[in-house]
Amino acid sequence: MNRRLFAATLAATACRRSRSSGKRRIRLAALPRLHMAGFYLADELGYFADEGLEIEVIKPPLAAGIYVLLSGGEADATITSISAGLINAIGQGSRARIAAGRLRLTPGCGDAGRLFGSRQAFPEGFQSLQLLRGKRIAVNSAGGPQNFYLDVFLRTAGLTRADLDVQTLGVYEAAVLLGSGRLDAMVSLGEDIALSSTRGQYVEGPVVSDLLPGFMYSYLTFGRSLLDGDLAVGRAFLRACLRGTRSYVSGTIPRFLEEFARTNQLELPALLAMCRRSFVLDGSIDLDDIQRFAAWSAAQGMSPEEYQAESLIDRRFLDA
Amino acid sequence: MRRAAQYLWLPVLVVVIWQVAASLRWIDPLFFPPPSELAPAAAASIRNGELPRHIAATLRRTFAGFVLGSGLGLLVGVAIGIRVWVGRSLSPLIAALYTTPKLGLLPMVMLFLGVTDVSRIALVALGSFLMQTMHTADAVRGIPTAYVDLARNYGAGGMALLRKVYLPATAPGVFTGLRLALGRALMITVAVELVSAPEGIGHMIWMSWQTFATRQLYLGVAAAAGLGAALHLGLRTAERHLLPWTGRR
Repeated sequence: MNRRLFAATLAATACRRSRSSGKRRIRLAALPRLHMAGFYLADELGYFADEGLEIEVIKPPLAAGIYVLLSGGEADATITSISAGLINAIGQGSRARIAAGRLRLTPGCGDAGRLFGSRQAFPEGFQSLQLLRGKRIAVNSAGGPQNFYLDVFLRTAGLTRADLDVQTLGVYEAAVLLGSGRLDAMVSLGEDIALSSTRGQYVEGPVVSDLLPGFMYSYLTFGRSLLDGDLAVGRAFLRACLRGTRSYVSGTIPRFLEEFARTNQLELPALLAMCRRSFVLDGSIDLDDIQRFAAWSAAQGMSPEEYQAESLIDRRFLDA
Repeated sequence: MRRAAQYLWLPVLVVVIWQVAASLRWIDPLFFPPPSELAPAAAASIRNGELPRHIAATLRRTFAGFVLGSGLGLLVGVAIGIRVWVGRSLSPLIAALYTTPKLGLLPMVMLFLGVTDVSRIALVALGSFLMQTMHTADAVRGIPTAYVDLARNYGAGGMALLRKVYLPATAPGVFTGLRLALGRALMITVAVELVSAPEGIGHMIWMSWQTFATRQLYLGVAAAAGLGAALHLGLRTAERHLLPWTGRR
């Protein structure tokens, strides 16, 4: 009897909730990164509400947790950089697909993929990529774009991984070790020491956007509920996301940025002045770039095979 | 035969249940690949040398840290056991370090020693040292004074005391310390590799997690568990042969 009463109360509560908001809830798994600014702006300005959507952001402690949430159906979508984890999850049967593109490497715009070095290791500055030979260098994640960018640098310099000591370290640990001279260089995410007050303590090196201009490195990915459910929901979500991105690119500042600067101890003025031209305003997907990354991931032994880019994406949401 | 069965029945049962559950899709094979898929993946990883390379790196760090840490721990433990003032001087430091998570010391150690194997092995050695010191000191303190007095009454001096009294009486405790220190060394090695190492079982597990390579993830965990069991059994067997009077089975 008690159990029935409990179930009835629960059902009534659920009905009340859906009547009170009347909105479809979308659970987005994402790390609080700078490139999320457009998304948060869309939420702050009510663009999702305009589309009849309600957003819940799930923040896993680590990027890898995103794929587990998405594959397990605990998240409906994710905004993340391309990585071996993402393409492997989809390639191995997870019901998820890349639905839209978000960010491109843009020369003269931002520090994503910039090399920073310690003053001890590069006393004369980064005069040549050849100087990387024999150095100890950190990348943030084994399967992420920073590691891919490192290979772009090495290829340009005619070096291989055997010529240097590559360590996988979190960006903050790497920054501390770089400052202490225990590390020679790191590949920046673009929102770590690049935007901190300590930037001047490091030697600024080349940025990968000059070597790989236009490379699309961040995407919006949908999970099972959006792929197999009513297409209109996914399209509405994408529409609101792109609207938020356009507002952000046109200069509107989300409250999220202040919180982001405070949490990560970054300089707010530097953050506000950051170039915003890297965002893809129409959500178009660059298949060649996905294929290039998939080929790299397979060549590095991070993927069991080279997945075909076409099999990793779903254009139905963009085509509307 | 019966002995082997007693060791193996539970792991075999777990594997069978796992296989059935994955085959019948009670559990998602994407997250829990069945053992029938893991076996070929393990064979391929052994053939291409990846798994042996990671195991070798982990064993190298484990044994380097264990030998350094336990060797020093043995000496310090004996000193603490026979000299009260040494115990009083070192006990607070040892107690504080013993309860400190060793992984929490890694950033500090890396600042001092750099992002190299020296840092990793130093942490492993520290874990082994603390475990060995405490067990050795307890074993030495636990020797009944009557044994020592009796031996002295019969004219036993320094070396004879050590050989005839201290060593046999402390050996079981010291061996327990060695076994636990080796286990601790492996644990710390894998944990340190998870955070920062270019190779090793911990690196393999972390890399698999980051790249959503679930088969490799399970292989890494299985390799760590297998190594732990093998090292434990190896020392147990050595103990049985070297210290038959303890009667341990």
